[in-house]
Amino acid sequence: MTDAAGFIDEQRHNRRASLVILAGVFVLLFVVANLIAGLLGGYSKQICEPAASPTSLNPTTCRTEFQLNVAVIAIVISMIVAYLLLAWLASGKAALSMAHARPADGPEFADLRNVVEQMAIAAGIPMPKVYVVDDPAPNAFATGRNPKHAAITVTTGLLAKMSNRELRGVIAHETAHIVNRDIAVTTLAVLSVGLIALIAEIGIRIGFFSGGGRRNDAAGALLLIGLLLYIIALPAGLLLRAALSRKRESLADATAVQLTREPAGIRSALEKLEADTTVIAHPTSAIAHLWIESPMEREQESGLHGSFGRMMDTHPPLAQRIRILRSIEGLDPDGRGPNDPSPEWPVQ
Amino acid sequence: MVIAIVVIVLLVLLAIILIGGYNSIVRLRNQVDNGWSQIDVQIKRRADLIPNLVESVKGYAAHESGTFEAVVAARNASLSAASPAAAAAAEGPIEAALGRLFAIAEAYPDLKADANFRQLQSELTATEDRISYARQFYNDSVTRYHNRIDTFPGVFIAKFGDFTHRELFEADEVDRAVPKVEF
Repeated sequence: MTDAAGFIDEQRHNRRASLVILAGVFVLLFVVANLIAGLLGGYSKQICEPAASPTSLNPTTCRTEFQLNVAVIAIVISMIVAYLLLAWLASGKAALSMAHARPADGPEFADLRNVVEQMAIAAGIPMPKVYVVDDPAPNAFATGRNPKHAAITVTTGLLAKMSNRELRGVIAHETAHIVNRDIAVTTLAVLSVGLIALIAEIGIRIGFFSGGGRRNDAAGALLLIGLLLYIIALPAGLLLRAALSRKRESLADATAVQLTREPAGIRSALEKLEADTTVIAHPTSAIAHLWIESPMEREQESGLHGSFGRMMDTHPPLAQRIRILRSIEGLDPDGRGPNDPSPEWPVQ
Repeated sequence: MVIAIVVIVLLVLLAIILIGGYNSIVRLRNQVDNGWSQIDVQIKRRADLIPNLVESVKGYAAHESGTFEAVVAARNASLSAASPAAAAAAEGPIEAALGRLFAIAEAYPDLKADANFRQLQSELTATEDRISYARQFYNDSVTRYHNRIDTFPGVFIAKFGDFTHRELFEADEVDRAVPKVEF
């Protein structure tokens, strides 16, 4: 072990940063929820009284007063909590089916299951379920809201291209996501952002289609809030989600080193991923943040890839992750290799 | 009145911090105990494989009874080790005895090709890996536990219960005890 303190510092730093980011996501959601509640009359009440003088043009005068309407606020908040809870419970299975994963049961996956079990023992968690995706692009992801409901999925391309040592590094990275509760954290962030998008959509539609009616003011306000959400809240949420996901990726690399007691496995695996140009057959942006290497960002690299593009990425650049691991290993940060040369896995 | 409320709030906060700290130390200590029993599980798994392995080698090299006895004796010793130091001490003889067993197998090509033997051998290798990862987790848990009871505020909270330091697995103790087997 060259530098144990290095990755422990890295872990602590990452953990703190992602707590701040997650708090940002929730503050954003809280503001959105309050806007909705306010619009539905959660904080104000219209009070109408008969006019003081009978000769007045208007028979009644109305004014809006601040008044807390607990029922409206409670309904809005409980609907948001219920949505997040249900989506959260269903998210693991949804991700597996979106990725076209099947259980890794056959004898050809005995070594894979073995490595998964070893890393689960090293991390002190129950053995996760193991799935494979038939896809030549090397990649992997972990799902499950807690270690008891966790699963690790790898592509057959990963099994074909990685040596046992590199596979152990990748599995350690995925196990790290499970131990660090990353899936729970990032899933909550993704769902919150999704909810903001949904609310914006509903606001704009209702506002737009009921615009001609008599409740003109309310419709206009809905349209305005929906647009504001689209312009400000949604991009802010997406940025926070991406930043959070990037932090958790670096953290998982650091934990993988701790579990395998060597940076070489995961470092060599990431270098192979960097050199590989195969692309996942079913890339879904909904689960892009789950994979060890983003399945989405290949095309961006060739096109415009300014600093804004990088801010929206769910993964830190591979080169940067490799640089950190190489410096822990005491190698030249910008060099490459040595790699484990031959895949020990039988190529399917 | 206001002072009383402030004092009560502060006392409640202090109580919450103390209870939370105490519980987290208990959790870490339980994790150490769990880590230890996970090593036991893997040691038993290996012990269950060894008689079958000995039987399969016996079928080809019955005259090597001294080695078989050494393997079985080392296996039984490893099962009765109750502390990390004892387990590390028991590890040397069993590694050495298994090394001799596999050295015998090297001399019998038929045995080396035997499907059952190969299956047992690979299971044994996998189990040895599991043992070393279980030890690693145990050491990680002990370190986390020690860090908590040696630093503030854990160092005070630890005085309220039976939170003693635990023994770590010393890696070089294992290494020193393993004689190199030349093939």
